[in-house]
Amino acid sequence: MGSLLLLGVSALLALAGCTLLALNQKQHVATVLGRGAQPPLGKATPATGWLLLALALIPSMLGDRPGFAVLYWLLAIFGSALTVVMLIAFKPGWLKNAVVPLVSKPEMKSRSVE
Amino acid sequence: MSESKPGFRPAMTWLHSWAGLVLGLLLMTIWWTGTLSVFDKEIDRWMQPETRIAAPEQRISADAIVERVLTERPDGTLSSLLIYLPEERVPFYEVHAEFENAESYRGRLHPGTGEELGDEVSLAASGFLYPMHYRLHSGAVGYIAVALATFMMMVLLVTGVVIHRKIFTDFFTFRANRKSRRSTLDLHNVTGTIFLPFHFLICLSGFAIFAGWYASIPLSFVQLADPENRAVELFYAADNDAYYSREAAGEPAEMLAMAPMVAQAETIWRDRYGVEAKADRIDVTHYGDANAVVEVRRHFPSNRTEAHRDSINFDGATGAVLTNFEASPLRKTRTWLEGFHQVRFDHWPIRWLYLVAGLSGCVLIGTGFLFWAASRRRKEAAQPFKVRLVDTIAVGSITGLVLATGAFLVVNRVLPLDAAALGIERAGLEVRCFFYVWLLTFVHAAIRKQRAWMEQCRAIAVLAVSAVALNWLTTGDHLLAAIGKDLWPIVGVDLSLLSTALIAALAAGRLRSKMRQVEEAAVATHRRDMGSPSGAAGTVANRAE
Repeated sequence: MGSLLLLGVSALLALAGCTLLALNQKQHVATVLGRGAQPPLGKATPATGWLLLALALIPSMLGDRPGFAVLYWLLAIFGSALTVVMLIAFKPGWLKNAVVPLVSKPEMKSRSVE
Repeated sequence: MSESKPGFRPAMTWLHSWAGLVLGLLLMTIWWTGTLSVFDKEIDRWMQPETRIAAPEQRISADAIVERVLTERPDGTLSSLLIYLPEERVPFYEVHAEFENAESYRGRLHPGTGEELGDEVSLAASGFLYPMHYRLHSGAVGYIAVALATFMMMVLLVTGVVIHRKIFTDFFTFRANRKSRRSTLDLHNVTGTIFLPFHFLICLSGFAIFAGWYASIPLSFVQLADPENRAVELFYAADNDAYYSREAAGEPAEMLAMAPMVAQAETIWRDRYGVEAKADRIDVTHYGDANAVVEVRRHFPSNRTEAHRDSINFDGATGAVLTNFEASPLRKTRTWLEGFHQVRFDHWPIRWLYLVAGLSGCVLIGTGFLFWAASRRRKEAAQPFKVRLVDTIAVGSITGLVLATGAFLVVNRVLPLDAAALGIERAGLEVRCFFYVWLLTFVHAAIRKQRAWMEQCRAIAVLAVSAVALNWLTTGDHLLAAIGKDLWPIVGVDLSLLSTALIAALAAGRLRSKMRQVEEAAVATHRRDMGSPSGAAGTVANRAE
């Protein structure tokens, strides 16, 4: 078994990635951030989400043997996706608190990108 | 992809719902027991308190263990021997010995002192839940039934993807507060799509494990027709390529110590794979004969995902290496699948994620069942028998199965060590308790109809809490004591039981409030309709969805 800390970092990255991917969808943005809200990182949301999922492989690779690292990475992504589903359904406030720091300012940023 | 052929999607829907219904009970049984088997060794130690020993600082060798077994049976001459070496999750020696006088010995011995841990009075997870997962305790019929169910599960996964129109849009969607039919379907879709690769690979790897056994069925017919058939011979030779045997010489010879052979084998493997390698079992044939063979094996490495077939045969009298088996690339693919499926490696984060994935499979099957029953109830309100049958099977295979497992654990802690009744030993009584309780849940479901869900959830909560309390009373290992003794397997099982109790209690509460709403609505309708009880009953059935 590898380093728990690195595996934890990997799980957090996967969770963040799944959150962004979910918040790229209209109905979930509405549930979590309110009606009419935009995805937290604007147009960059899905790409950042996918990027975070890919990045999650790095700490798990650093923290474990390759065979375990890949298996752990995939399972951590599945687990994160399920966690995000349950958070949206039962505790959308928690997700909101997690992404609000991203939303308030970067909203302008994303506009400037446009 | 499906729109090109008219009727393809409806056909898949038909296949998906009927195959799911027919196999629901079987799939649920396989999936639930398989999920529990992820933690089989931990459940074993919970159910067999005599194995809750701490790993000793100094482990005695396999040779000392054999000596110990021989002093127990001074009159016997050993003929063959099988020793499972201690590992992290199973911290003791397990010995199976056959003697010349056809007697046999089976024991679990302390790795530090060599003392016997006491009789095995429970089949626990490794002896009951795990075999239930792959052969349903029904011999060849069980193996075949599991194989067919696994195949159909793969069909269900594929057809499920075909009929699920909005697979990406609905990927994260679970509308928990909508009507229960909607939220059931959401949960079915979510658990099905998120874990789709895992579920598919688990089915496929399950097949890989028994590939040789499946192939032996048609081959046995070939053999019947032509006993000398060369192809059959070649097949078995290839399938048993790691296997080595030779005839006894008939002359006694001094046996060499096994510990150096184990060390030599571990060095060979370490050089081959570049990582630490531990042997997990020793097989000795023709013990004490000039042709004695000592096979040192490594089947489940703790530090690799894949299983192995590493096996080195030593001459028991001279210590010479007879064979040093290394799997072919094709065999390695198969053993990777085997290792992936059986999770015998030591990796706690992955093991817990397997539990989550396994439980999501149970939710997938369970919600599929519920959705089918709910849809049928709408369509076939005129055929109450059919609806009731499906409901009964759904209750029995979802809450009933969990309830039976709870009863299995509770009865394990209640029965005295020497319990026996009607000629059945203690371990058998536990198993019968499981099956009788399970059967009763079906009867209960048939009698209590929609109320059965809530009542069985309550029973699960009570049983789970009782199991934890009884574990404390009978072994003294309550949560804090277990943590103090580093008995993490016991802590894990206890905490899982408490979480199960909490979830079951919450579910029961929610079901109760829903039923109350339905009842109130029914009373209101009844008052309005004045004297038309059948109309009111119909409303109850519809609303109960």
